[in-house]
Amino acid sequence: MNALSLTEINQSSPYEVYWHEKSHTYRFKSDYGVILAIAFDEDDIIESAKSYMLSIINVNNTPSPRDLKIRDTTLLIIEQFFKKNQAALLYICEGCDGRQQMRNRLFEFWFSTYRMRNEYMLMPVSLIDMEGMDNFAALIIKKDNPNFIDIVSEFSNTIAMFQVKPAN
Amino acid sequence: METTNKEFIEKREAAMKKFIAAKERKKIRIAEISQSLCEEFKEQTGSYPQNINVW
Repeated sequence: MNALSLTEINQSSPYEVYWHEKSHTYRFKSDYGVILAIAFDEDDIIESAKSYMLSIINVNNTPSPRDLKIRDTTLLIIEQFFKKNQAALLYICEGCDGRQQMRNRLFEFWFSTYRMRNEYMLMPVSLIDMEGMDNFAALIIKKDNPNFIDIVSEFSNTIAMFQVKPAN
Repeated sequence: METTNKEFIEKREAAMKKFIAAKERKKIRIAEISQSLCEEFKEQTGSYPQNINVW
């Protein structure tokens, strides 16, 4: 993966973003003491182009009030990822509990308010895997990706296959 | 027709296995990141965090 430019991110980021070498994550700390880490890990789940798995984790001691600076910083990091990498970004949430589902919805909401949302496609889906687990997944891709059609088709076909039960 | 259905089942199973493998990788990665995040939190505050939120 091409490294993100911390200088470019921090030019407009509300929180200062730093690279955590040991865990290979981009991190920042909020005014309310939340430390958030974002990872982009290469994955082969999409075959028609480079794809990465997105992971977002935060830790805190007390839930903070709605902090739009966390949204803006997170979206700036993702924006920088796409600026440096022509790739698809996949998000998988396994067996989401109520809180994770709430965070997924919040992430979708963040994206819907993102000033550059028209440049991206966010395809959220829910699917049941062969272990009977309910999963939430989403594909995030920039519309100017040269493999846009192939990636979206592959993702859609895979999801469709999951949703169709084969006849015996 | 039978062959088509067999092919579909095989493709579907392969896709499912790939998806489950991706989930496993993510689970391991989340555990690694969570651990290092907790350590960093402790370094900064003196105590481990009470909440770990995975998105």
